[in-house]
Amino acid sequence: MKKKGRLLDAAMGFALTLFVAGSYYYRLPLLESVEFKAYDLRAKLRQDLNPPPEIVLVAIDDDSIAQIGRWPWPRSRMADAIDKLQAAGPKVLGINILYSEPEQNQGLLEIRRLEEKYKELIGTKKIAQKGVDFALEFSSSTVAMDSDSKMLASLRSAGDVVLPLFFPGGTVGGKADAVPAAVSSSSIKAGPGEMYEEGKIAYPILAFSEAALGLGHVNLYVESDGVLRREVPLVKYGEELYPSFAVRLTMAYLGLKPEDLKFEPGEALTLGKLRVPLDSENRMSILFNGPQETIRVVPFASVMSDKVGPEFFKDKIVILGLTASGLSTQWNTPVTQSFSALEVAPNVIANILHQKFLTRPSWADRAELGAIALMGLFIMAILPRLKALWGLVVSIVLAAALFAAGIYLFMNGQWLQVAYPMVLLLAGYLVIISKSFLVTEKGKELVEASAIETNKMLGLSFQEQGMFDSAFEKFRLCPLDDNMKDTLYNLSLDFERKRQFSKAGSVLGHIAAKDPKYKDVVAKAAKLKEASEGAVFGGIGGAKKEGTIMMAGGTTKPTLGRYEIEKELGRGAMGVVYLGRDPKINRMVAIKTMMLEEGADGESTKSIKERFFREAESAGTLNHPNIVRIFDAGDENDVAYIAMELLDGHDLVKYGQKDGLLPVEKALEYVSIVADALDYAHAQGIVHRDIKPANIMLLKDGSIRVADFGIARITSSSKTATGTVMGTPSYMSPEQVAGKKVDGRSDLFSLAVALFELTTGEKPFKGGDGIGTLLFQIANDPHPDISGVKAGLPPALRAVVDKGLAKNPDERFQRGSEFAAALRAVMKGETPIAASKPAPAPAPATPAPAPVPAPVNEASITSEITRPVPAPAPKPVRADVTGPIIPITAPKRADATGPIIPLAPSPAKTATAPAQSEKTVLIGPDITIPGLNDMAKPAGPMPASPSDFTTMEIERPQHGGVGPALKTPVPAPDENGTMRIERTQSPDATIRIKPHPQEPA
Amino acid sequence: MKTKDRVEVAGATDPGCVRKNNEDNFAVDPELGLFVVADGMGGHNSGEVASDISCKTIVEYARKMIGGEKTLVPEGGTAGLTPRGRQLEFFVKSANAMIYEKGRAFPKDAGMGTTVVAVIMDAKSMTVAHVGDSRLYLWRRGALSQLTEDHSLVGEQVKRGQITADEASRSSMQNILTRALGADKDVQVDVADHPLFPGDLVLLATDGLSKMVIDAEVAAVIASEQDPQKIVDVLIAKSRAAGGVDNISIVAALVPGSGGSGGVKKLVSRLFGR
Repeated sequence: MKKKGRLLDAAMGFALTLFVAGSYYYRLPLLESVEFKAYDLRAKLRQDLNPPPEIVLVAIDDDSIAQIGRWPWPRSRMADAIDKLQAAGPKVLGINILYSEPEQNQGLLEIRRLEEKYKELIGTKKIAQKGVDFALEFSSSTVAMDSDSKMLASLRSAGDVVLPLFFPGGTVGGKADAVPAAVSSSSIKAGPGEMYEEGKIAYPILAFSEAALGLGHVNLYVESDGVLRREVPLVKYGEELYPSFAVRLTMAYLGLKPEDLKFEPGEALTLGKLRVPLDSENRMSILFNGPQETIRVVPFASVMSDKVGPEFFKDKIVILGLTASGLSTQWNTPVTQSFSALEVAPNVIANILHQKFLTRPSWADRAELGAIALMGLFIMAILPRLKALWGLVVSIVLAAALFAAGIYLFMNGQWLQVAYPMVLLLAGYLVIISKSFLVTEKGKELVEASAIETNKMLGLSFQEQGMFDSAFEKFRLCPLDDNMKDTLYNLSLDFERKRQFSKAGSVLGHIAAKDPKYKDVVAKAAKLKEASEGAVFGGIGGAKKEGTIMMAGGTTKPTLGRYEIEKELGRGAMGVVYLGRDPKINRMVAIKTMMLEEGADGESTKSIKERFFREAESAGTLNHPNIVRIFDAGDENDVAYIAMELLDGHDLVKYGQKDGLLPVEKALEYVSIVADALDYAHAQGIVHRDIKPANIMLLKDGSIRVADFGIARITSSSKTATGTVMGTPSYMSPEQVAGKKVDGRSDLFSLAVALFELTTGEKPFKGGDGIGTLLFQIANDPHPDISGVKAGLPPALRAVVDKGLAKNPDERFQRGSEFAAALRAVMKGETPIAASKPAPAPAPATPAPAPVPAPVNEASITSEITRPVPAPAPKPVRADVTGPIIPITAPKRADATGPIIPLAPSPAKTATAPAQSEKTVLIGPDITIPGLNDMAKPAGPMPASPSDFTTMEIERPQHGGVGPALKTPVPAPDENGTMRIERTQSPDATIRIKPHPQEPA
Repeated sequence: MKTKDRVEVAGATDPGCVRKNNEDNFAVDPELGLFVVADGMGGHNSGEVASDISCKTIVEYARKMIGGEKTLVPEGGTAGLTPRGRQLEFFVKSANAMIYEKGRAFPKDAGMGTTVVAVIMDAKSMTVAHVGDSRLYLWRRGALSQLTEDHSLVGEQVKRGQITADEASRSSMQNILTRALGADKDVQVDVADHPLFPGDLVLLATDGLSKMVIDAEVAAVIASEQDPQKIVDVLIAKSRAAGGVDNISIVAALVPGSGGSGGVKKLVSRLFGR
């Protein structure tokens, strides 16, 4: 937006600049009049009110007319004036009154008529001349009456009078009337070139012209705005150039003849030693001395009444003319609106004599255009970036600078047309600022971008990033207009470049479905189809097999380690699962990948890798029919992978939904199988950590597999310092939520959550608006009563679920096998656990006597159990047992060698009140765990922090103890902490869990 | 010309003292008043990729939809948001789609993700969007407040009152995020509008700062240094001095003050500085 706005500003600025430059070049009146105003202003500033000493005026003003009589006056009076002035001895006398016709005196005409008549009568002898010489009388009367001749006489006697001539207008071009020699003697020959030219001429009567010293034209030419600013010193008539009245007077004053004039067109007119610079149109700017009467002037009447001394006129240029109102022409000039014509010539003469000129310097045009261009650039580029106020300030400063420069130059006689750049500046400011004001006021237009547009944007971004599949997905959502066709066609080319011919083909197919005529889509799609099928791709039209090229695409498969990647099966939070093939034994495997990277504590990739392999190795040792087998682990380019059993089945997620519930028996059966599998794994010291329906697979053959053992551990070991993205932790145990170390009982909690979900279709902890709510519920809230969530469940199930979901690990099933046994009892209709009192959850967890199916490796477990444990502890605990005693080691003996049964702390709440005194937990008929520890714990949820206990690390537990965790808190030193474990005597080597003797109900 | 007073902004990113690579990224577009900080995660440099995509996508989309002739507001979006909020939400969601799809398309980038905090501001107000635990702080007349809620497990726990802030700072689960860009096909973005006043300072930072330097100290630094560049430099130095276990990225933006000698100074720099 901003860029475009700037562009618009610049364009507007440019247009304005062009307009101003055009006006300048073609002198359009609009801007020229502005320049003239500026000129007039400067002219007024420049006026010099001291009258020039060389020139005086004799004005026939209103007073003179009032005293002497009405105008026109007889020429005899003028003759008197000429005589009078001449007597004072002026250098030259100019009379700015044109006598182009002989005087029409009625008296003279009458006398002439009488004289004619008299002469006729004499001639015809009708009368006789006697005594008086009438002829003489007539002639003297004629002379007395003939002012012209009087004036002629005065002119002749004066000899230095300059008279005006006038060009009354008319079409130029026709043949000019012949001009008497007396007139043309004042002119010079015209050269080539453009001049002010006139088509008609009016000059004084011939006798006057002959008697005058010279003639000068009194034409004044105004500018387009009607103001007189410039004098035209030479006007062309016919082939002659006539000097102006002022020039002629100056010449006379200097004693020059026309041949002394030197005219350089467009440059200057030289009068002897004085050079008058001219502009390109051969004009001369008049520097007016000031408003009216800044030239010394005396009224005609005063001269006639001898009120002015002769010294006033001595050696001066004296100009006589009319100023009386109504009789003289008034001109509009820069200095005043009504400037009498009489005073124009004196100003010009003063300019010439004093060499005060206003000229256009030779660099004026360049400077003016430069200034216009500069201002143009300013309004185009800088003004739009300024704030309104600063824009105004800068513009004013610039304009002032321009005008000041203009005035300075004017004072020094140089005229620069500064109005143009100033006008440009002003107009630019107004336009740009008002535009930006309007635009800002309006604000930017908010346009709703449709889903189509956003999809297209996303698609293009995907394509840019090389994600062509995703791009295609987005483009498919857009209507297939011409633009989209082009885009899709390009996408197909991208696919083709990546040799994904079938995808390229389907993109083209998408176009073809709408517009089969678009480019070559149909033909190309067919060709791509062939290529994608691995068919020959090359010579079209029956090329031989030998001459064809096999496309490499699709023949070499990517590999990961030694596995060939066939396709992607799915993806999880940490990586992708691929279908892989082990080419050596042609076994299909599932390959799970994950990224290895630096740990939070700066652990090196190497040690992380080691840990990964350690975890994978321990998970790989699991060999259980219900656990997904891990075949191999490896890494390539920081991608670690685990190759595992490929299963044909699906997970249990869909059975956890209300409309997809399994029959209760099936659900219980599956969960019990998982519980057994967990029992086995826990016995191996391996905690799953991420038990959830998604990790339990139901195969096509109806068997159950637990997947991803140890994966959670591996992934958590490779989490970054920044963090691990976590899914919704619905299956987390309270101790996991608290960030404590976990053992197998955490898995059993998660399994109980899964059980809840698989039987009811609801999760026990649903969370709320955020994950925090969920976590809080897991840690603190009692789970809902299962029988309240779904009717028709076996009543005994409730107690099992309650026990499974106990907040305190010690109150839960301690082993998977216990859990499984309890579930199987429920299936048989038994009540494995006595129903707890209704409210607050944690059910009293005393196991009911129920046969527990032995895990497959029962034998090894039992053998380990039966192995008497050496008692390295300094304080063997009291044995209240019927079988081998396994003493609880004191925590300080954490480094003890030999099998140690780590025991989870067992809060008093494990058994309800009556059991308190006994302090013994009996597990199964033969296994008794007496008073595991009867530490007095406050009631209520109290997940003890691991730091309360000394923990003991055991690489691989050597037994099937009750605390199967890898890292298990060891109870605080407790003298009475004994445990009695009996080997079961049953032939099928099952462990039986005996109900506590004092279990209520 | 009534242009917006430019926001003075400075930003920097630093790998810290422990980690070799820098998975953070940040972007500033003073023209749009858009600032982004992102903290990537994922292996084999894909953390950098994710944070880079988020910064670039947000800036690119902002330039297309805000910087153009017309301001485009995407259809839909969360109800109740201002147009600018909807735009910012869309930019962040687009970045999410980019990262998610890239993770799917290229195995080496699988599972990558990033946090992001982005702000579009002018002299009078700002719109903030964030996902993850990168934060936006507002410093106003000496008081520093955190305007974003961390989308991390401990953040949620603190919010629920399950643990105290002090416990959270020691928790082993600090690094578990509950939301991130690139984790899923769609992401919930927190978007909020806030007014701004002259002299306000907006600070965007990754957890490399917030885990190392306590808020009070951050406030003290801002109070003593008014120049955004100096604030950024000092805060990075302090994070490093405190251990610098994670990458640190900080963007500081100062809301321009009104009038005063600053105006004259600005005029001078406008006239002669260009």
